[in-house]
Amino acid sequence: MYQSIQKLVYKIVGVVIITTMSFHAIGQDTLAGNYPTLTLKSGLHIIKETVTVKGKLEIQAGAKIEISDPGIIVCEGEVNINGDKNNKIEIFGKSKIEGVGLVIRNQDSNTNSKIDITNSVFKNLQLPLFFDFGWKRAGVNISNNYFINNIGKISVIQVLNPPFNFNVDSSYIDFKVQHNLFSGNNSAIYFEDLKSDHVNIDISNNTFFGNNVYGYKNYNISTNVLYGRVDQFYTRFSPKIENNSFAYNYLIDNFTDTVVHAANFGVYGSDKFISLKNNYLGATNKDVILKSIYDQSINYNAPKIEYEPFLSSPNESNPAHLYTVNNLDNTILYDTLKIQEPLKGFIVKSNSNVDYTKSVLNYTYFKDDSTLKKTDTTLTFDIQPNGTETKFTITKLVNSSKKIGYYNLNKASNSAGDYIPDFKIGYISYLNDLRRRNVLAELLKDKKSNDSVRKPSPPADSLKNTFQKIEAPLKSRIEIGLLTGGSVFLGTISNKGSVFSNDINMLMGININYTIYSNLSAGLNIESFKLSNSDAKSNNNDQLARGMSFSTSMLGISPSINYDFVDNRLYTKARRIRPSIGLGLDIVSFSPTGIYNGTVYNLQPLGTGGQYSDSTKKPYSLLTFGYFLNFKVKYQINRFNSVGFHMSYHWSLSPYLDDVGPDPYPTVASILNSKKITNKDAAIYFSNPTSRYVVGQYRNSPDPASDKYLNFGIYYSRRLFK
Amino acid sequence: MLTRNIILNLLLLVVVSMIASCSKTAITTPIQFQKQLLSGTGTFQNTQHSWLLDSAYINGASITLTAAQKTYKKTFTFDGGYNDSDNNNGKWEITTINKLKQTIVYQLTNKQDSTTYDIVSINAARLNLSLKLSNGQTANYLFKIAN
Repeated sequence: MYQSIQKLVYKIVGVVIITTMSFHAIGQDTLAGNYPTLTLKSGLHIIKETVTVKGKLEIQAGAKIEISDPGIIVCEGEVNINGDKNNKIEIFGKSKIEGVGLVIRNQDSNTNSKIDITNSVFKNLQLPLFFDFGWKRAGVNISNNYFINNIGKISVIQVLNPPFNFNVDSSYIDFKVQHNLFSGNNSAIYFEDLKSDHVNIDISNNTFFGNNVYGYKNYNISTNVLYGRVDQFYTRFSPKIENNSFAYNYLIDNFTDTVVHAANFGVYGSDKFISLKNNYLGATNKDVILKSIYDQSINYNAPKIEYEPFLSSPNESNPAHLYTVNNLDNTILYDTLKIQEPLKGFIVKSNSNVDYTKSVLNYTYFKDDSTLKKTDTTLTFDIQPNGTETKFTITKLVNSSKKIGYYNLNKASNSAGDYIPDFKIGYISYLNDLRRRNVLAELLKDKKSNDSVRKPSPPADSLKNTFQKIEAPLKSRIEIGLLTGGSVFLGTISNKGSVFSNDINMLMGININYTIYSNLSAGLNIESFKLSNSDAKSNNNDQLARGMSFSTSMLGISPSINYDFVDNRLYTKARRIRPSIGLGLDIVSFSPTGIYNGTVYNLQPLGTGGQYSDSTKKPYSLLTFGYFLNFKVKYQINRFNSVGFHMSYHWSLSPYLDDVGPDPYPTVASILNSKKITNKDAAIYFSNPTSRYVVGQYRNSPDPASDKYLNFGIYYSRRLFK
Repeated sequence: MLTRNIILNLLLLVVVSMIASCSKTAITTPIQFQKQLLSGTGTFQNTQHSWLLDSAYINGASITLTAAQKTYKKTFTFDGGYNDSDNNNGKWEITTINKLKQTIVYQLTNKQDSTTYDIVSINAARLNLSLKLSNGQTANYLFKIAN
């Protein structure tokens, strides 16, 4: 009894432990699915799909989280992502299949839970931080983070409104975004309501440097690196946006990838104004500053941005960055500068001390006037630091032949060794020229494709697609046909001048065709036909005088390989007529005959070429090989049935199809003396039918002894299986 | 549909014309064939055959040919003409199988005479003629082709 109670207690304890335990992921692992809570320790963690954390998400210093599309972390509870200053957390998208990022969703059952993200790097993500509709936490702190090179074009941070009961709920969320670096991102930081009764927004001491907000040619509210709404409806909390540095942020045209406009801050809504005081806005000139903000001066219905007093340089406590560049004579080097002649040097200014010892200066310029070919060189330089100003003297000059280029200073770091964004000089003009060259390249490409359109080579039948494999089952590739027509002998005994003045004899046969590839098929013909001819049909006097004639039945088996001009896989009404050419081998049996005094004699046993009367000779074989060229035109009646015309020209390896080979005329005496010849009269006659004086002559004279014949006719074929 | 009908009709036409154009074997009658062996077919360079006397027999017994007899030659032309090496001319005809009728005008006497030989055998190289002599004996004359 006691033991059973003890077992029951163990079971209950076990269940309780499992259901309440936290999941601790250590080292490299792949995360997926729902977690009640999740703690990610130092090490690599991979996310390839949705990970939902219902309770607390804790990411500890040194953790590296790789997110690949469609990977996303959904946080429904407290979020604690706190790295160390020297051991940061990295949350990054996998190259070329970048994942989404973090989504803060729902209200946590624990009303005190907060979002705390510090000393972390968010890079290469689609949407690093998204505070989704209906989210609510006690507070948000996003501090000392790096949001760099995120590829998404929606937002880097997007904050939608949390739910509050307007009448009775006096609580609010402190939303702090402080000391972060936003650089090299393709989108903005968006707050649905910058001014609110329940969200107290503090955006201070951040650096917004070198972000390219993608949009279209028209500069508007949302095409700024930081934007949101400011409504009169709310009165409780105005956003605190102070001591931030906005430098080199631009609107980039989606179509052309060129810089459209400086794009620092945008606002809309019903309120009259919003304070943007005490920020560095990329310039010390008010006109230049005004060009980088979107407010009442552009849109009458938008609030006015009160940006004065503005900082003439970024606050030293902001994340380190270079904020301006001058010529060596300290005149301003504008960002729109077109660099065609290499610079001898420049002076950069940073908000805090920068370590250039490991920095690299690249100079990239086009090789010629119109193509996309470019040269990328690494320059050598001397530096002369002077506080936060540093003078660069370039010691390796490049002859760029007045082609447009730009400088890129990278791999610099702050005094603590932290990342500093790359700094480009002349990049806007470079992008414009790059665009011009891209347009030229596109035009050339279009012209080439237009030219190729005119060429009469439809892709389906082009050589590229020849011999593509066919997926159809074996039996559906077989086609069986019946063929008929005529045969004409064109060998020794024939009229060489006119094919059709020779004897034409009936041909019958069957054909089996097998489609190997899209334009290649194999065939096997079994043909029975007759060949006959007479020297009397010749227009050559010597042949007429020779007076020979013959007739032979032929039975041939002929395998062939054929190139089909039309893809065998296609069946369209437009492609009913399908020509093909091929070549093949013949295996032929034959037996030449002649008529002597009304009786048909097989000529081979008579030894008409002296085969039996000359001991050095032997009778010819009645089986021979040959080869042929084949031409067919098929008319596809429907998917299964077709008719067509066929023609093949055959060369026989035996010259005796007509019994006339390269033999001298035998003498009558030799035939008479031969014991192997049973009918000597016939043998004498066939050896020299006109009884001419032929001593020393060859029987095949005046022609070569080789025999050829032409088969032609029509055929019907049918595919038996689907 | 129209194209299909045209093509099918065209193929039918091809079949019919091919059958019509197929070669037919011309049958040569035995008499005609004997004539051709004797005198040629009348084609180029085959318009006459000359036969050289090779041997002769009386009642089966061989007779010795004189030198002049050994050069005796009969020439039959395909159109029925005849001449021999004695400069006699005339005509020949085979109206019945194995019966060769010669009508000769002798050059010396200018006298016309008609003789009918029995063709014992003939082939492309040999001709054996038999003649019933007035004395009741049977003469056989063997010729060989001498074109």
